[in-house]
Amino acid sequence: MSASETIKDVREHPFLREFPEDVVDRLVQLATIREYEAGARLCREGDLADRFFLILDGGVAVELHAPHAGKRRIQTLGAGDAVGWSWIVPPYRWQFDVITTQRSRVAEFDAGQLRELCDREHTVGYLVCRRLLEVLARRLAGTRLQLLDLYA
Amino acid sequence: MTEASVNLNNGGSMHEGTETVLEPTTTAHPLTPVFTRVVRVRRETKDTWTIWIERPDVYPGHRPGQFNMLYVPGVGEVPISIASSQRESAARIAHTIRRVGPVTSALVALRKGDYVGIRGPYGSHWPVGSAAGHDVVVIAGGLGLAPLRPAVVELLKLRRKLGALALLYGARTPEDLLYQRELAKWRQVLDFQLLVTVDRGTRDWHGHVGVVTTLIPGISFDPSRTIAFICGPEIMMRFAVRELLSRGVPPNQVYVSLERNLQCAVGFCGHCQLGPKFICADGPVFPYDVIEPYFLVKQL
Repeated sequence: MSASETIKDVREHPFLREFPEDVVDRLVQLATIREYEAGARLCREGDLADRFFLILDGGVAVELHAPHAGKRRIQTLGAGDAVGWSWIVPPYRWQFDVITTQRSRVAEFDAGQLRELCDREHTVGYLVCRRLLEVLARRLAGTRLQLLDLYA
Repeated sequence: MTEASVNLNNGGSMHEGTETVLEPTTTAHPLTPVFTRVVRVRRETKDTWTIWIERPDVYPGHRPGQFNMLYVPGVGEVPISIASSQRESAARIAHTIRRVGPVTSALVALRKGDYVGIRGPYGSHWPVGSAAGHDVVVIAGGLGLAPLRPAVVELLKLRRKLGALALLYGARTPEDLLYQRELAKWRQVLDFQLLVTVDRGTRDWHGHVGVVTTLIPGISFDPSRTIAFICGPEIMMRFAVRELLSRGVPPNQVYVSLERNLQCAVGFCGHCQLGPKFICADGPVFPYDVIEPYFLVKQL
């Protein structure tokens, strides 16, 4: 896949959809494309949340390790999803483990650079935070449905 | 949830466009069952079984999404979705039953050769015939896969006439997934998008975890030419409908199957009334634009 195709994939990621072109340009400049084999760990609970991820291809699992119960898969995410908000919420520590479930291609953003951009340019910060809020709202709604135990 | 509403995850009269036609019942009197024999029983999960019965001579045939009233003498009668397509077998009828009360407990205790009372089929059906030329998205939650199963079987037989075809299925845990052998077989079908998710993963589960609506972004379909069939807990259906409508699927192309307290199944007793509709006679399969005014009304 060529560099221009990769950049196009990032620009067309749902997280950036309908953002003004200049905002997308600024964000894409901060992105690094990485490929991971299945089973790679993107985040470890308790570690510094120093990155933000947009999944371009593949998928990840959000997991939590419980004593005597082993790892528990809490949620799976795929292409088009965003991963992680701990990078913008103090104390900037991952709350969960995130592992790739298949070979995956992701756009990674350095959390420090992204926070700095959001702080410096409030329009960018507002758009990023609003979009993250949409992600959070969707995940919260899903979690509430899971808590209802609808299929019992 | 009452036993009379359990397991009827859909059934119905017929909605092909705006047409609504009641199927004939099996006997001269609409409330009198005929007796037939159980020919096979298969355990699906810890609390759910599929029971195949001989098709009675007077049984007029059914369409995907309809239901039968099953009767155990001395115990009672409950509505149960039909889980098989006539295209699989005209000689026997499958019902997938979750054990939740006295009647369903008696039903799942039946063994090959035992007799069971049946009347039906009743209610509206999934408009499988109208799916030709469309993309089709089928969304099932929990036991809601049972009344959708015959629709999926018939859609797969129509495969060449359809655009994209997807089945999204959500269950509580991996152990609660119905028809696991069939799901494995369907996974091998080319050009059939099958995604399965569970609310709670287990140590051995390597698939999706999350509510079934989270699978929608993972499938390819053209919303404007999509027809959707949804069956499961009503809250799940509300969220699934919302997600599809937000993507541009026309409301009259989204079909949901409702369940209420069904007693007579012939639109007489009124137990299953939802606004001006009787679920047993007008439904249980409704186009969303028809049922929308009552879908969010509390206490209905």
